[in-house]
Amino acid sequence: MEDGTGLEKVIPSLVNSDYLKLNQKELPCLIRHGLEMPKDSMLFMPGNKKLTAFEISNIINYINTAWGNDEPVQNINAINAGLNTCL
Amino acid sequence: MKKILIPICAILLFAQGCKQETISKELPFLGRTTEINGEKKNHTIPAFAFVNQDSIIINNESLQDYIYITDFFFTSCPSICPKVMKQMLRLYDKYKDDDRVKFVSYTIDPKRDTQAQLKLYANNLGVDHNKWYFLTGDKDALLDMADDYFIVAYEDADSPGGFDHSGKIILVDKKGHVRAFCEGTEEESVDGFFPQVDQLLATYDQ
Repeated sequence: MEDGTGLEKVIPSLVNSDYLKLNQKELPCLIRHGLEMPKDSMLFMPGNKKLTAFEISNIINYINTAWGNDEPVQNINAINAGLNTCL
Repeated sequence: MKKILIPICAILLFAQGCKQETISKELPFLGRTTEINGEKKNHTIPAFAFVNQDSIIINNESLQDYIYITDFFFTSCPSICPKVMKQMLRLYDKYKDDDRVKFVSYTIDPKRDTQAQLKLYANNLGVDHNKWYFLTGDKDALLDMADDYFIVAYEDADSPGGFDHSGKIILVDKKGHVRAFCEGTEEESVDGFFPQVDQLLATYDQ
């Protein structure tokens, strides 16, 4: 949990994750609104609509740099731009 | 300073003493003892029947030849369940090849946790379906079961995910008596649970 490795396939690992690398721009909307999975899988990631852009920024920058991850830091402008694209 | 140190040492010695005692003695029978016709009866998990992730009915008889490790959860639980499941997996990894041990996870959210949902969850967890049962059924019956394992579980709209429950992991012997528990949210507590499982298993070797 605290080490970012998740829980098998129930909660995917965030350590050195391809998904994390390939979906940097989508992260703000993903954290705020969650993720619906295809109908047959039924598992999903819940969103957290109470989080502010600033809090989302902190979460993303933590995930991007924790556990040996090495993704670029996203500033608040990038987060706000990302949130404006949410469906 | 000395005055403070002495009681602290005394407490430490006492704690150490207790620890050794619990390891050497037989595991206690938890819960209230009832007396029927002058005969003392330890708290026992009552008869139950639920459906597992493969639509197989699991009841007391399915578990009578096994000791089992059990918890309550729900698959969409955003708060403590993933932490507890991580610890359940630690236990599973140690005992998965021990034929005397089963694992049982009861959902407290049967509306969403259908048999199909539990099957998917078990598959995603990557565990043996014959070793670890994920049980669903009537909601009230499931919540009543939690009482028998001394687990607090109830529906609460204000809690994350809609249910409030404790993250305890429970050890049950072959006769359905609760023999030990730990806090599934605390790794150190679970560390201390392993020797208790071993201790219970050892009583069946004799």
